Amino acid sequence: MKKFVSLVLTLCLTLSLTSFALAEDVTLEFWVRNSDDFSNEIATFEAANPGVKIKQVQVGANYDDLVAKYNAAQVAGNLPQVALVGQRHGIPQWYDAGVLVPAAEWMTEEEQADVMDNFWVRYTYNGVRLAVPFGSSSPVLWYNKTMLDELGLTVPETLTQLKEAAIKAVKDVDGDGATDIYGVNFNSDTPWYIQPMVWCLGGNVISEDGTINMTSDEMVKVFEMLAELVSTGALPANQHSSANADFCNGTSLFYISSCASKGGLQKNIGDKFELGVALFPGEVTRNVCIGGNGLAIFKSTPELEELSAKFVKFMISVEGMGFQLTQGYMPFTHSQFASELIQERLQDPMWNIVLSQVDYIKGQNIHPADSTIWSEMTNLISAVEADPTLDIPAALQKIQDAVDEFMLLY
Amino acid sequence: MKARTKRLLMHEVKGVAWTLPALSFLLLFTLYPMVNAVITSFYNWNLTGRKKYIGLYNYKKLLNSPEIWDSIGRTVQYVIYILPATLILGFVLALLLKKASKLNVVFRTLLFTPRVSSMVAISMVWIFIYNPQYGLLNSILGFFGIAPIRWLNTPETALPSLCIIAIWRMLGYSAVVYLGGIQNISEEVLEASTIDGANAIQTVWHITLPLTTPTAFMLMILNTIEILKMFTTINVMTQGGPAMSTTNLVVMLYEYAFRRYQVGYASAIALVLFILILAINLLQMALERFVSYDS
Repeated sequence: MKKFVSLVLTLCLTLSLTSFALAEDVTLEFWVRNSDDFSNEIATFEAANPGVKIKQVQVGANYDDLVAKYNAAQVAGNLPQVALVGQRHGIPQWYDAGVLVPAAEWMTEEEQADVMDNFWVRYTYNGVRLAVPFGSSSPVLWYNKTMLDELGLTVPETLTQLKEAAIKAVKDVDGDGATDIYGVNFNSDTPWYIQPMVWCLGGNVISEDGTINMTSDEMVKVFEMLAELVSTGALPANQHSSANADFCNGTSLFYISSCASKGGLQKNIGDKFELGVALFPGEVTRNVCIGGNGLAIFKSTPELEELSAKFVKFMISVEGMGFQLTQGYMPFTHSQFASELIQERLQDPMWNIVLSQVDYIKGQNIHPADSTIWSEMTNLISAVEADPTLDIPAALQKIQDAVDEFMLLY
Repeated sequence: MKARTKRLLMHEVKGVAWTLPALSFLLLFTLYPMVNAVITSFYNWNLTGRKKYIGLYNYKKLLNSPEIWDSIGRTVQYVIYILPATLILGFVLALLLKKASKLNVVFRTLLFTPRVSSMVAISMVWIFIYNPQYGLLNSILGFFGIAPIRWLNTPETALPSLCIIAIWRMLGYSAVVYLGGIQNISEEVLEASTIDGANAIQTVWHITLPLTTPTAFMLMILNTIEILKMFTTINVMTQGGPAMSTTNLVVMLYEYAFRRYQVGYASAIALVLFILILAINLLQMALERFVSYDS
């Protein structure tokens, strides 16, 4: 009898432990930047999906940090299930390493069709969509409207007009021989602004078949314009890290930066001057690139991948995009555009300009050489600004050689 | 086995066993990464994909690249600018602070503070100080009628500007270490020099300076290694620019490993850095014959 009772008790205990284990929450890890906080969205998702917990882990200050963390996690074998990924570089490498789940495997065609094509392109590699756009932004032209009006200038529509207006704005206020007011400056992610300029002049950096052309006439022209801006004193050479603060302090007429800077600029400028925003200048044509981040799913188990997909789809829904849209990021799905929030924003003149730029967005496929191109371009921009007489075609040829060599070894 | 041999062997085994915890850490976190870096330098690897063996390709590319020679040159330049300043000014400061007084304790603490402060925070403060348009330094210069200087924005001024920060940061540490050396000098020796009629300068030149050469020698080696490893200030303030004018070997290594994901090539750069540090240290060890260990 004793044996029977013990057996029954053991059985009961085993069953209760098993049921406890079954009832335990499933946790998905979601890695983001330190500045990202999706707690509200996560809470909404968790409330609608009992038994699923999302563990938001802030792993790095910027996109470079995120790439380094994902690379390290891959080597260590502890990648998260869901990842916020910068579009700048890294994604093709993870796909080639076999750790990414392509979007087509967890999104229906209908769901994919809701995301605008020009946004998809930036997350596509060799014809495969690897991540879904999320915090999307594009470069715009911010300007000091008060200063522009005082100078009697109009908002530039083209790169040539921008250059001319920037040169006119240069001023030595206190007569100490140093420039106090500059015409234009870019944010510190300088290569991001070179690409749309090349497009606007009719050129291309990476063609659809993946061929990289760093030595086109259009690329040379863009760097020549940069050199001219520096030699005329319109652009403060190698002063990009403080470009945002300089503009907010009223020492620059134009500031080329992400549309996501809107909130920060308005806050820091306050009543100092009237802020204006314009479309990124065109020339032969008008095209802008997208920046920011997307959401990717790393390979795990079919169950976790399914839950990850559910979470990502929620995050890109109108309900899940709350935080991102308040940060100044752009809507990228037809549903988001049709939402009340965006329709309301279209009434605001500044938002209207930012959102109307969506029509000019031109995606460029992600490429394994993106990080090499970015680094080389950063160095060349800095070199041209330090010495505007630099032999630009020769310097671009060196970049082409470096990129070709990288791809040869890839 | 004889009992004596057995006893000696047991003694050795015990000795090794006592060092095992430290040795295992050394093997795991120092020696293994070093050996692994040398092996990786023969591969093309982006951290995520499969390693591809490419033999000596990374080294051929490295030696034919002007970038590496420029970076080595700049790394040595940092040492030439910073090291003498920290050794000489550190010694002078130690002499000024050697007297035991409450004020000197405050000064010593103030001087040592940069050493224990976060380099990122320090760099952010210096970015503001160096701002060409509304920075503190240019405002002070403007007060004296001196035109603003573009400290971090031109290749000519960026490297010396970073050196000023490094000197400021290392000075307090050097002074405090010197102070220890000076306080170790026997009072009898100093008294004897006073009785012999030596003035303060003569005492410093003939007594204090020679007797602190062991401290100076140690500081020379430690400071040199620290300068050769300089990274945070450069990475936060200039990212190696403008026009790569502040890129040293460590920044170059970081750029290739973590911005371009060419880990094999970065490993080859790491080996060059190792050889450079070794060569400079060997050169410095040759100077040991000028060190006076008599107290």
